[in-house]
Amino acid sequence: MTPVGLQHYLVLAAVLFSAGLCTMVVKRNAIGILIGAELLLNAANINLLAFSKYSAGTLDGAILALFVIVLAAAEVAIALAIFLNFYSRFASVDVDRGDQMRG
Amino acid sequence: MDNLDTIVFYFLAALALVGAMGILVSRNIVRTAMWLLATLVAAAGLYFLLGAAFVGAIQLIVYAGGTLVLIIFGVMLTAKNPNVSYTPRTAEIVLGVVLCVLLAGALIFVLHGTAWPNNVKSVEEVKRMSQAQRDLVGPNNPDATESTGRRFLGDYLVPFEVLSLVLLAVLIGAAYLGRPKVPVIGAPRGVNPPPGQEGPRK
Amino acid sequence: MNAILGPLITIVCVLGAVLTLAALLIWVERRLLGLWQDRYGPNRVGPFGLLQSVADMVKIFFKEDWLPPLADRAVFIIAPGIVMAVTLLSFAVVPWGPGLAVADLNVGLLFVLAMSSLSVYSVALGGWASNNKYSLLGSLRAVGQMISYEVFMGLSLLGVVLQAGSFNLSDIVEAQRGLWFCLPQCVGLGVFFVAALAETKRIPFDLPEGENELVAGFHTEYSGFKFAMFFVAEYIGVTLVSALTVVMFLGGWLGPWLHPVAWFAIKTLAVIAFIVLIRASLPRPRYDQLLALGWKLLLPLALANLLVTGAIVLAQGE
Repeated sequence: MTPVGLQHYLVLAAVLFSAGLCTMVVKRNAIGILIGAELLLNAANINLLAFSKYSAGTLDGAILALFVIVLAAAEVAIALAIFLNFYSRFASVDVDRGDQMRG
Repeated sequence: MDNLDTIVFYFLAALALVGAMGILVSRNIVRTAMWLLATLVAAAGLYFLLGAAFVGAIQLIVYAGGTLVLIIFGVMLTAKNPNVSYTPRTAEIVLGVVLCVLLAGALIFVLHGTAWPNNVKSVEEVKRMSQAQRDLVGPNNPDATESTGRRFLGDYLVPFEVLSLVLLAVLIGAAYLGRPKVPVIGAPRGVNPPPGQEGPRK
Repeated sequence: MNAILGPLITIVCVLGAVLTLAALLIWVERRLLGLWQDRYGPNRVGPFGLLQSVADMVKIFFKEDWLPPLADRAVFIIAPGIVMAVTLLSFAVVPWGPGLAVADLNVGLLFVLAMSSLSVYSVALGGWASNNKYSLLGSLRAVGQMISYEVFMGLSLLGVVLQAGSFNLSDIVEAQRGLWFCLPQCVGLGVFFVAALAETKRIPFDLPEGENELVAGFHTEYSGFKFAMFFVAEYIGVTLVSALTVVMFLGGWLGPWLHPVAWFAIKTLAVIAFIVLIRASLPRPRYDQLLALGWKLLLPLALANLLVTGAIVLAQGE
């Protein structure tokens, strides 16, 4: 087996990123879309730490990853509060229901 | 030892990929969240493998233990019938999947064509450094956690403080968005909206 | 070969000790409850009823393993496994004596907190997958309670981390050589203990399974071995928080004359007995009282403790 290096992590993160993007495109459930976004953020975090370990050799990758984790928590808190309001208005979290303002 | 690392990497990578595919394919929203849990745990394992134990632990505590629990909480509150699923049109699914496969292919193609620089310091080099120099180094740094703390209160002080402001704003915003829309019987003063200003009743 | 065999033996010993202790705890708790409530408790099977847990286990093995017809089968089956796995994993970093831990992680304390926060999933998913209103209510309560009290638990332990200057549990024990942290960190100890009781869903805080309101809460639909896993995991959780209290506040294995492991065991058993005494004597609060206690009393206390400890450590360092 070839030893694991930067490329392995980058390819893994690329596939995770594409899967997350695909989830966001394909799902109609608002919470499903949110979960897709979480996948994107995790792919980015894997990249940050892999570059930190194999290429840059600095601590900044870990620090940025910590920022990402905290911001993801904040994002989910707000998004869920919005979804709960959405749900109390439309009795569903199907994002297609929220098209009342289309021209 | 290198061999063990390789095996662990492939195991965690497989777990993360299976989780990602599960998220993509699963119709049931709680199942989707469970697959995300698998991916998050695998990612945390990868962080441990990459020598960032602190980030891995924080990932488990905040992401897996807080954020995803919040999502599952949201699912429980918004799913009247937990097995309900929303299906998009087939054409949309096909288009989305094709585009994302193309994206993944393009990314992997570019990644294989690029040579990344390698500025990683060895263990001996890190040992010879002064404290201030060592704080900049991630891999092979024995006190990476302490260095992270010093960097947060040093170079990254302003983003760190801005982040706490963001969290405060999120706290207030979430409390505002989540306030009761219809009067709650027996609630303490200030929780219910004043008479005449209640939101729409549904 | 020794590099693999040594850790394996430690792992087997720790697993054996923890599982035996958990089984024994069921008997110990019932006997102690009997003692404090002026009755006998189980005393028929074996000497002093010691084999009661064995009899219970045999009974549970032969019970019908029932799946609710509308349950989400896979999630329903996985849920009790999660709590069992994560509570047992937490023991990997607990130091039983000097150098006696399965894994001496640098972020050991964070690892324990991470594992305890993952145990929320078994409750949330188990209650959801049962497709039962009582279970769902129980698991909603449990999620709210556990993610709230996790915050106070982490904050109350940070004072100890500041004083010891490390997340490593062995280092924390060594830092208590002069003075156990239960004295300078008495506020932290109080907050931690209340939060730990709530995390393990023990009696004063057992609202997720409050039997006179919710049948049995999140595990209403569980039977047979899957129920046993929830049940045993609760006792393993009690052992874990007791061991953690000892490591963080009561000097771990430190003590005169006796073997370090013996000291650790004695202190842990004493904390467990105290937890049982609390069960025997305290009533259950309402759910809003529980959350108010956490956010209005424990959180400010823990933050103030952290602030004062930080200031003192900073002043001493200069």
